[in-house]
Amino acid sequence: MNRFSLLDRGAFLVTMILCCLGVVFIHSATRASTLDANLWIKQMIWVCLGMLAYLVLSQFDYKKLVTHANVFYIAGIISLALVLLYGDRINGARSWFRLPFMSVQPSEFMKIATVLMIAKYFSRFQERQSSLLEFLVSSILIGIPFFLIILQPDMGTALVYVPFFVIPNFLVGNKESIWVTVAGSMLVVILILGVVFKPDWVFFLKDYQKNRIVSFIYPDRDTSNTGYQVHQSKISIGQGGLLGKGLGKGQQTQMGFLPAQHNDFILAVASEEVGFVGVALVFALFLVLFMRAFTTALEASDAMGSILVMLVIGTLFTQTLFNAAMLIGLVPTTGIPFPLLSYGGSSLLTSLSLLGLIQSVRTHRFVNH
Amino acid sequence: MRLAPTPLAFQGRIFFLRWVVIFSFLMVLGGYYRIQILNQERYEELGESYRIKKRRIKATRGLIYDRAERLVTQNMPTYDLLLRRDEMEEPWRRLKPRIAEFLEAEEETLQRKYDNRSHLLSQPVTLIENISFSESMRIRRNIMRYPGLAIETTEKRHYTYGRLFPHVLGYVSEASKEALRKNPRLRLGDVVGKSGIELAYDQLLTGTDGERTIVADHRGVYHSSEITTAPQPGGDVVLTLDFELQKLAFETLEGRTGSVVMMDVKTGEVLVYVSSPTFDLNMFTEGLSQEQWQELLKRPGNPLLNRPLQGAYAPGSVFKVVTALSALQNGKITPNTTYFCNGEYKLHNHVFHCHKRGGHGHVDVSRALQGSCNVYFYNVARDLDIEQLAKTAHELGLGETTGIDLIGEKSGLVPTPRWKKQRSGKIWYPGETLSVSIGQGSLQTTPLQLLSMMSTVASEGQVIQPHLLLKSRLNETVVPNEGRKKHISTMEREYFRLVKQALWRVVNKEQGTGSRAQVPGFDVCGKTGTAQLITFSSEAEHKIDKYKNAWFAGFAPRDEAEVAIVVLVEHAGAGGAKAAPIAKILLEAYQARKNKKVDPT
Repeated sequence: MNRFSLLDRGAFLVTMILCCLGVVFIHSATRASTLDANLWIKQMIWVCLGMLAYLVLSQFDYKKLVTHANVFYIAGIISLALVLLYGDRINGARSWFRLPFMSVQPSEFMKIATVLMIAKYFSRFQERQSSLLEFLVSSILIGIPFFLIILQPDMGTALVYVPFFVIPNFLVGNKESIWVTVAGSMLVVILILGVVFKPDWVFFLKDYQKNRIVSFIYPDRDTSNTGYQVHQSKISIGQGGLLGKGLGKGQQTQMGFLPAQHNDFILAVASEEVGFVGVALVFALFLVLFMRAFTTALEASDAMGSILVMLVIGTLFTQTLFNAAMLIGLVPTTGIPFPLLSYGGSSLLTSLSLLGLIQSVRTHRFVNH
Repeated sequence: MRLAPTPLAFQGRIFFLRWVVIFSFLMVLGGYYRIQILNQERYEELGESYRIKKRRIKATRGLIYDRAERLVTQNMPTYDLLLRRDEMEEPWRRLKPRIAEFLEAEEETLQRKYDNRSHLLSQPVTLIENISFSESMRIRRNIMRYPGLAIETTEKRHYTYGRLFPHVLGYVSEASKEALRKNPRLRLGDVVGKSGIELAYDQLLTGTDGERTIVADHRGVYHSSEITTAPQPGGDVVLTLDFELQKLAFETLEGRTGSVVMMDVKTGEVLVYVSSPTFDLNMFTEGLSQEQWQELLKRPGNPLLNRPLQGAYAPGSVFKVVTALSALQNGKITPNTTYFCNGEYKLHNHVFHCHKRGGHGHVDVSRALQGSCNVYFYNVARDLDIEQLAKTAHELGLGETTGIDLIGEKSGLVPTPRWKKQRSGKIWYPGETLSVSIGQGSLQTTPLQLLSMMSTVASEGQVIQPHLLLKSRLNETVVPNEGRKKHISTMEREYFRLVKQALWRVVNKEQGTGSRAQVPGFDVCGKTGTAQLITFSSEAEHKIDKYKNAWFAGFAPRDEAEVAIVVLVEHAGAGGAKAAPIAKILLEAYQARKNKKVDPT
């Protein structure tokens, strides 16, 4: 039967609006550039492809996808291994396959496979809670792609895998395993402090990664390198004021002071050109999107569907919030795109697919039809 | 169709996470609110500081002319290689090796220049100075590959007659750290006057810098560039000096150590100001190395000493003019008082000699000046109180600065018992008064002071301040310098007349010691001096040089005097033989010029 009638039209509309806003901002961010002036057209194509994936997935029964999660997962792991061996190095990280017409970032698509895999693993906890041992097993499932991505090294993408460790455990874990999660989180905090105060002890991070963390803690120490990006980003955002300078009129954006304008810093472009009102609108749209998703999680027909939706919320929420916080210097600078708005095919396709999965849970929320 | 029969066990936890999401969004939005709404102005300013660059436009330094508007300084274009830190695209540590290769320069040399940078990012670092034109063109061709590097055309002072005027013109060089701290308008590398006219009129010559405002994108590509404040060029200085007379005096001295100063008695305009030996001023503007500086300091004759202004000498017999006036004014002698000179004078057990072995016989004050009789003045000094003599000396401008418009003038020394007490704790001996009365002892005068004194005698009591600035020109506005400090001496005019007549005889009578300064038809008056060269190495020990300093101080003509002159030739011997002829040549030239002006055919 036709399940399009069951689609969450509100969420769909909001998703479309956000994608379109992304195209508008990308156009504004790149119009002054000779090299990148056509990126907004490329992004439009990606939006179309992404929406197609969104709609297809929304009609597809997520339970069938989850059943075959192993296949996606193993394929994903292999692609991550291959990209480490044969990938192209961009900005110091070996994260990309450069194909003739596009570059593919396997770590993005791996998110989908991981979400499905974790959902599959936790689907058995319909009635009972998971134990610490089961939490550790799930951590290994997530840990494999997680560390392969860290090896690239791509901290930004690795970061959005962190919710995968935490969320299912928080939802179905017993007290014991929840405490272990808390302890693990504290360990990460200690690690960050270690980088700042005893950088020599943290041997597994690259110097520039340590520098980024340090420059976050002390933004005034060095304005010429990593701190410079946040510095310029804050200037862009600050100049926007309430209503912004107007599209195409942001001086920070148009004169190129803002780094990576169409990628990770797209929200700063929006901030400068459409002001606080524009940022608040983007935030509101995302909040609507997430609220609709929470409703879907609550109404899901089974634990598998609910956990699936919560994993998607977790990763997209982390990405959204971390990027937004990074632009105003609340958290360290890592390569992390803003969902739906930032330029990039792999990221956009993944985000829209993940949102499509939520719709799949929604359209299949009824039992016994 | 229906929803699942039993709600999920973990619904509560989902609700909790929903609140986490809502609160997190609100918190980050709060962060945006703080930056965009509360601190908008601050970020607007910060943004401008990156986009809008202010570039200073140096004002041209004013020029210096002689009294006939002959240019004696010039501004030559030179090329400097700058590093504009606000236009750099890569960090210095990466840029340094690249530009070192490009410029074929040592990395350490560049680093030293870079270390000397200002804390202000907008201030460029001068990496290489004085690049030749051809080299600057070579650099310009490839400079775009090194964002931040720029060639700037600047002006360098060039002195057309560098060796002729070094002491009076002075030189310019980079402002010291202290000067930078005192004057906030100065920037690192700015050139300021360090001595002479360049220092005295630095403010007038410097002008006011302008500003260019540039709007540039992150690569430094200009979107607009306009002069927001036009620079005000520095004012010109026209000196009272006469280039031709100056040159003549310099050539007549032939490199001998000494000084020639000449001044218009009526106006105080200094026509000649020569200190010898000299050095080339252009050495300083081209950047003096440490070795060159050491060499200059060690050169014989101390060329850096500004003799008219700072050289302190015993005036010798020239001072007898002062002793005569003091004795007359204080009633110790009359114009008719005579003493007998047999060639020596005894005071207690010490014998003081006259320079003329056989003695001058019976002499009055006029003949005593004419023949420069020491014994006559010893007799005068016996009756004259040293305090009275010192008072007269001060009244005639000795022991005090003349107030000439140069910086660093020495006031010389007119000794008194109180001065000696303070200095060494010893009492004053009558013999010392004798020494001072003939211009020896602790007495120290500068050539400018003697010039001022002669000028006062020449004009019969009119004290005038010597000056070097004839007029200044700033933005087409000419400000003439009237001279200052014109006052009349309290001494009787008839005594000045008497002394003037005696000084005329010095030059124009056969027995006169200054006859070699005679200029027919010009009535030159003057006094010679042959001073023992006494330098204070310590108070106890006076080291007597085997040579003597030759003086001639005079004026012309006797009536309606126009010009005063002082000539000093160090270690030369008798003033009448060595200094007077130089005065003659200059006075002759002055007279010839004057006659030419009166009769242009």
